[in-house]
Amino acid sequence: MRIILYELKKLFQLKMVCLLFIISFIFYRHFIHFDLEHFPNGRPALDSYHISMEMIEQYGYQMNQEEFEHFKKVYEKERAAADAYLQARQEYVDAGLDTYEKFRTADIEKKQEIRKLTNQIMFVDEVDLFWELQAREHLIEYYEYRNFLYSNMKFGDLPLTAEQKERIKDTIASGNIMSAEVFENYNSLIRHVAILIVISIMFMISPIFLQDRWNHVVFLQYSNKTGRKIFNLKLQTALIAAGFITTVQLGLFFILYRGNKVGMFLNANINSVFTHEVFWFELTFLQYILLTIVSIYILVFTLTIIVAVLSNRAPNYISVVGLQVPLAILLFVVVIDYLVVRITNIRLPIYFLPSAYVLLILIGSFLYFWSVKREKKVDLLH
Amino acid sequence: MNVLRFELKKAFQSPVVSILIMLFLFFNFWLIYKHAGIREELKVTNQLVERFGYKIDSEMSAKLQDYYQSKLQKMNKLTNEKFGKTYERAGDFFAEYEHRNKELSEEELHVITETAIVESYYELIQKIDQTYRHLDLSQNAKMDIKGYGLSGKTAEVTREYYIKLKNRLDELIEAGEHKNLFFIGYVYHMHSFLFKDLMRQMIFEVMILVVLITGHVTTYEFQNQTCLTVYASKRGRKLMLDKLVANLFASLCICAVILGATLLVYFLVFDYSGLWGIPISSFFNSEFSFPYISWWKLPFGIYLSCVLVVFIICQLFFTVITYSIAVWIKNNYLVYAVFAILFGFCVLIPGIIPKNLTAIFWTRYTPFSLILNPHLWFIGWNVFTPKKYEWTTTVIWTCLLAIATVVTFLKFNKEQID
Repeated sequence: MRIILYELKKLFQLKMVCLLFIISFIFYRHFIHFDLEHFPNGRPALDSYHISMEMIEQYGYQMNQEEFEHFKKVYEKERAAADAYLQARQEYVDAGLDTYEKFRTADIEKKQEIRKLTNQIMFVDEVDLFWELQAREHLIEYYEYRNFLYSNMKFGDLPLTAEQKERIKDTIASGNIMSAEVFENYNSLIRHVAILIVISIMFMISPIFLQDRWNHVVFLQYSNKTGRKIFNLKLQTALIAAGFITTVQLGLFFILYRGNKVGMFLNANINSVFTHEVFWFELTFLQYILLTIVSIYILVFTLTIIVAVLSNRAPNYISVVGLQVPLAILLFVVVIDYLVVRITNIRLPIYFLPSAYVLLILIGSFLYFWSVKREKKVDLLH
Repeated sequence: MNVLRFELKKAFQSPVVSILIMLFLFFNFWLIYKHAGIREELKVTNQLVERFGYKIDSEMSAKLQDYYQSKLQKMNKLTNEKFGKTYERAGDFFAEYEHRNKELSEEELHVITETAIVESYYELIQKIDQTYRHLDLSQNAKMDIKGYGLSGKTAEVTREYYIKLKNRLDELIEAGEHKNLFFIGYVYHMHSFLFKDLMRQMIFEVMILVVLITGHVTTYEFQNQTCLTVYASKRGRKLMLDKLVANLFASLCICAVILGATLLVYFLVFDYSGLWGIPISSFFNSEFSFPYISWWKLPFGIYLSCVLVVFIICQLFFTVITYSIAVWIKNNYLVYAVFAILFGFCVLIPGIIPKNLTAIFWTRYTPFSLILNPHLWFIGWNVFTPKKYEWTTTVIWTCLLAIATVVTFLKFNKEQID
């Protein structure tokens, strides 16, 4: 235990922690800040978000046909209000935009004056009513054309399997309400947070063995009483450190994420015609968030072992960094998109995710035990 | 000379360098391969240029029309035989393409595709004057001001910028620089593909390699604890100078390998013969409703060379920046981290400055901001791509880095090495 504490101290040197802090801050400003600051991003996203909340308040987490008719009635009522708004303004009546229907279908490409008038309402005055109508239109469309999910959930050109069709059918029948804005926003955020965590782990863990070898401390370590057991202890230190970094980063992120005000959606089912996504399991948004967190931890622990072993085997820093370049590209471009974001989506087979994680854990444990065993007999003068 | 050779050996002896070069080249070839499906269609452009020349004038236009009509006739004869149907436009055939493609042989389909492409050229040529007449740069100025939230002094700069661009546009139209054939940008996006996707990917690849190597070579003696011997030898601290030269040379080698191999494959896959002299501001090169307007008349070949020159200069900058950091820090792992932080920081600054300060313009004069949009080099696109942006950045940073290097040397010469 004492050794682990000393090793942790070595990993969390002041300058490394400072650099990690700066790296995290810059990454945050570049890739995470935007989704936190500008949520919902513009209009009509803002209106859809509000309306989704209103729907949950009025109808609960599911919406049936009757409630949908009510929803449509509200739309019609607002439409009438929009008609009145237009008719009250002489310049719109003169331009032939006296009903909302005409306003919506007006040919803004060709006629300058009409474009000016529509822009006045939408972008200059930003009349809430008109934006809200647009958002409601989209939601009604999604509900009415919900069978579109069948073509939307295809993976490439593969035909849907019976199980996939079953899940889509259930989702359509359920009438679950979930905001697409909230869901997309979270996916974008967690993707970048996962990338930031991967970068942080790589940065902090890479020197763990290399540093000792460059300082020739390793000869002393291996010839004292603790001996080669220290290798195992250091691997454990790496895992503890990685767990700590991940926890801190995720903790900070979720504190910031609270500002996005998604509390109401936490119990909403993510299998919804409004998010255009269908998953293998009946997950609520909160369960989905927990699932992404668990997957990040598994990914991080496997990565830590890979990085630590690399640090033990690489001859110098250029190799340890250079070899992690392909690893990082693989993680950022492929792995995180399949194993953290939108997991359990029915586009991939149901057994894909469990088997991928079993494989990851197997790789991790195999590397761990293999390297510990190998280190017991390795020739130090290699 | 010998010292230099040994320093270079340090740069390339690490297997990771060759592994990364291989991997990066594979990525580039893969990107080209994914895009290669259109190469047959692009050849129509080469044929047209060979037949009529690339300059568009009334004479050429008339010839093209005749050629198009004969093509269309040939096509209609074919479709009449096959399906008992003729078309007014070749494009109409593809509206119902789904039903017909299986009944045609490859050659027959090729005839129709070719006709459709010639048709696109013919029809687009008729639209050129109208398109350029409708370009309203004051509208662009407004959009930039609104889109980036500029106000006060910066809004002023934006309006002035677009007046300058307008002058250039008028000059360009006067000279007929836009009336040239090229691959149809709206359809094939060749400019974006070559100068944005491929070039930017290469910039980052070479940058990674250059930074890795420079950090390694510069700190080598300290990392291997040979510094006490080496810097006490006759060559002494002048060795740092050799290291700088070796680093620059290694960077040039990396540039040559990555650029050379990738561009060789690119130009083998995509045939640019006959097109090297066509100005980059050509109407056909434009991919969006706003065309690419180069600040000077730059034919494609010269444009490409200019881009490559800026590319290499930027990589040399990165070498020197890494080198200077490395001499101070002496631990290459931290050097890599500091370089990454510097990169992120320089790109970050223009974004967080209040939008009414002119600082949002001049803070972009860094190689880090410069490399983000290689497809807009020498082109007036928005207010952040002013005339001479590339050259000014180059000159400023050459001076800055020269000073930094001298200071670094002076410091290193008197430094205590332990």
